Amino acid sequence: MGKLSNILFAIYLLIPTVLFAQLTPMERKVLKTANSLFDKEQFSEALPLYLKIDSVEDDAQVKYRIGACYLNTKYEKLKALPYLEEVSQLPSIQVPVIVYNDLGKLYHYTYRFDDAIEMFEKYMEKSKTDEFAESKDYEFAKRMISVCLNAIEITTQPFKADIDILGAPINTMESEFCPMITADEQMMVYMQALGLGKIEKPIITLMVSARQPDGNWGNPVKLEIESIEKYKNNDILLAGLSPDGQSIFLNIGEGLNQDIYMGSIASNTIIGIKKLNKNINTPFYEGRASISADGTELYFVSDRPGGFGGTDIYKSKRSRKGDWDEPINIGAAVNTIYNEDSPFMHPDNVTLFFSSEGHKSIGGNDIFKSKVSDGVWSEPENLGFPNSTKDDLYFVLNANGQTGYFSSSKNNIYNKHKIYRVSLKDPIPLTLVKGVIKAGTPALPIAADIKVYDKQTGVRVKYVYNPDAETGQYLMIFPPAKNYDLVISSEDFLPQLLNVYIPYQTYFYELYQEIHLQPIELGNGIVGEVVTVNNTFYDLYKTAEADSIITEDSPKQPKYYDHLLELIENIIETTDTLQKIYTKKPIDKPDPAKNMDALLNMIEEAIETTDPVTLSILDANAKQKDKIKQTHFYTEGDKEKSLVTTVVGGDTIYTAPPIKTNIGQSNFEKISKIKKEAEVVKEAAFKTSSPEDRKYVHRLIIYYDIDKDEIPLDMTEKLNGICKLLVDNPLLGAEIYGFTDSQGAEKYNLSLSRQRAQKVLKYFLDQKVDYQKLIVKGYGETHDHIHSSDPKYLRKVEINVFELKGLEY
Amino acid sequence: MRTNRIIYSLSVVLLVCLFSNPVNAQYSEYEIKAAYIFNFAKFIEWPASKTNPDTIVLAIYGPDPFGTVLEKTMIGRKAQGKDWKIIRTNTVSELDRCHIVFIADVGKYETIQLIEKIKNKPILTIGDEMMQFCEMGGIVNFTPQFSDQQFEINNDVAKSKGIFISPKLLLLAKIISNKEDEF
Repeated sequence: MGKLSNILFAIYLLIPTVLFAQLTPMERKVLKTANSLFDKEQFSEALPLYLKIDSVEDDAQVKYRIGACYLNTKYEKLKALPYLEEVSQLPSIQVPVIVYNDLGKLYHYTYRFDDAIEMFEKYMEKSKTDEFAESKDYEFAKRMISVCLNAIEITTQPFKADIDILGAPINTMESEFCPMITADEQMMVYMQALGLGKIEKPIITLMVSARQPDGNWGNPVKLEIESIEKYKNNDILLAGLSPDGQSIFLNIGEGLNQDIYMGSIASNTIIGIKKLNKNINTPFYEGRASISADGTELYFVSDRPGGFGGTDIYKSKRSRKGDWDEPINIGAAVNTIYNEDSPFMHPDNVTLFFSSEGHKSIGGNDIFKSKVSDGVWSEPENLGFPNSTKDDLYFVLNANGQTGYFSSSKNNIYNKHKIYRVSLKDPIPLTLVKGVIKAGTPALPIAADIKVYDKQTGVRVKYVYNPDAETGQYLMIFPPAKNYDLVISSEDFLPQLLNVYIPYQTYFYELYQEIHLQPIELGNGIVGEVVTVNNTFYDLYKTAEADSIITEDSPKQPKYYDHLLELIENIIETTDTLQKIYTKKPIDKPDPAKNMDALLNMIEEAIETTDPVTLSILDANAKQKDKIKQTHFYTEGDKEKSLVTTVVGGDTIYTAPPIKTNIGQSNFEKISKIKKEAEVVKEAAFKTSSPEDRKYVHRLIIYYDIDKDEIPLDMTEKLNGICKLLVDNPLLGAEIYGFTDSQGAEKYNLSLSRQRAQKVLKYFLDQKVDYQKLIVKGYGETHDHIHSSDPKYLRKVEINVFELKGLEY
Repeated sequence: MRTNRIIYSLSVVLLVCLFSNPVNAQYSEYEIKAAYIFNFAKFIEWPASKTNPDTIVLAIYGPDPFGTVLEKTMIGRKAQGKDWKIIRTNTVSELDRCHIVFIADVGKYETIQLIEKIKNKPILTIGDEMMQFCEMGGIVNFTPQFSDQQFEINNDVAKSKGIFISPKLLLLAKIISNKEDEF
């Protein structure tokens, strides 16, 4: 309002009297009314009257006042441009100097940067001799010249990104702004202002939308607020969303006295809303917030004293107790004397996006990014492409750095925001590993701990994040062409060492991993465990595109066209950390609707015409789960004895034998592996193996009555368990050793001991256990009296289940 | 032999080019397996039965690797003019009315027992890449990816149950014979 009063003041002084010779008495009356309204600053009422006069009388002052009225409207400022432009160019009229600033602003808005600079320069020059000029307007003109120079530089740079305005159902005729997404881009929350431009105070609602399988955003739903009556008379605004979507931040308060609250979303309601502590919330303004992916740092906006001016960005760390520590201003590299707003810390934990009216802004708030390294922030870089001369705010980016969202009011006279999507054209060489760890039957999520090592360098990847105990889900980001060792520890199972190879690629991959741990029970005990790892790759580009990019033998250097891609390099080079973001969204990716009829018909035709080629191609193209199943038997039933040692990065770790995944193996390697497996199983020589090669995993002893060789009935269940184990596991064999006590003739006893063993053998064969796996022997009288000399413990058959060592496929 | 291979691989390349759709489309492993099962029903005849003359009943025994794929493939489509019914079970008695039982990941021991228990019933057993499935008395077994044939068939077992398998299907399969049934 200050500037406008200035204009009015100036007009009165410089153009005190004008004659309107051509006007009818009626029109004179209209003009008089208009002037009176204008004097009372009732611009919107004065405007139509002046426009009427303007249609009959070509008068500089009327034009001037029309311009002034337009400048004073909320949504039609730009309409002032032609009027002020005309008046300022009339040599007969000396316009007040402030007009040059206003014109400069309008030119800047309309991307006429050269004209704008000319006007601001004119202001700076003329205001020196103008007694009404104020120094703040001079500073403004000076600042705007550099803003325009920035704009010329930045808007002429080519950008390598597609910017699309989101269609229905997200953007409507209302104003949609402040989009926030989860790192996996499966959920978006944003605000909608209803009635902007129509009613005095637009109604702001929080909305949530879920990503549909087809990639579009689903119908948005209004987010309800739990016990909303508590916040009567307060505005409730969206302030932030954690990368996992688990925590939502709100600004609640009256007018500019906002504070930051945190809650979570459950069935479209924000629940458990709590105000953050007094370190974060002061009597001053606290606004937007962004929490780091690991949940340990909070970036937020505040205008508390001690900053650099306007609103600044602050950072607070979570203390050991779990509460927020005294925040620090993140410093002059990021914060300016102007306002900084809407911080967004990318899941890489290095790149901060924020908006600022300072730095190299091309007008209003622009989106910038700055990277932090050892606590030092790089010079903020104007993001360029999304920014306009108006306010551009609330930029967020998904984990792969490929899709960003922001809202802007560009091209909208009512300043209604629309949500835009930025798609980077260049694929990003990263693999997002989403996984789930489950155990038992039925498979249930378990609490586990994952450590990750770079196999080549042996360096333990810095951050350790554990899967969510509730869902068993984890999420990691891997740079490609590297081998990683994942060490997975959980309470009831052996620590597992899983080697994951991320193949070289020039595009973004998603790997969905299911790890299932299952105990092998025998009787009341557990003799081993089965680990199943299912890996499914989804490349996020069409196969055809991917094929054209990938060359199998000589990987091309990925091209970084766009500076946003540096962000990803960041993950690879500066931190090389594995970022882990919890996600509760279902991570099984539904396939887009496919033409099953085509598939059915093709197979039918291939069978009908006995065409094996089509079937082979189909087979070769099948998107297959990479399934690895590994069974570990405990040595002598003892878990602790079953660990092997591996040296990773100087640390010796104890795990179950390592599991190698097939990722990155060629088809040839995959086939040979299957063939080798069959070979190994076939050639497993149980009978001739030396006892040192037998790893005993279980022992069962059957005791007999005097002179009996029948298997006691109560043993069948245990025997069946052993048979199942032997049949199901190709590398398990068993010794069946018969013994007698020392009563009777030695020769008879030898024969009796053989019969006992033979009866067990027959039982096993009836249960379809392969004869080749069984070593049967009658030993006659038991000489081992160590445990007991009671004859009833000497009449026995010992069944020793063992695994053949050294037979790895 | 070498020339043959070259011709073969050439034809593969050509076909890949020609059939941009749907051969080249990426179907998942179980979408393809479901499509095979659907088509098996068109090339296999079961002995006339009194129960379910208008329906083919497919049972999934043990853990189901298909998810919703089976329903998407079978429901609403007919094979030999018959509708599909899909059941999932862990009990052998429920298999009585089935035409097809698909056995996934239940282990060899349980598979042998299952095959034994339904030995005399006209039920087509399908194994999911189970080693020795046909040797154990199963009828059809899917082979691992990149095998020479996509499935193997033990026609002796099928015949013994009165199940007729089209020669076309047999031509595309790796044939397993159980002449040495006993060791």
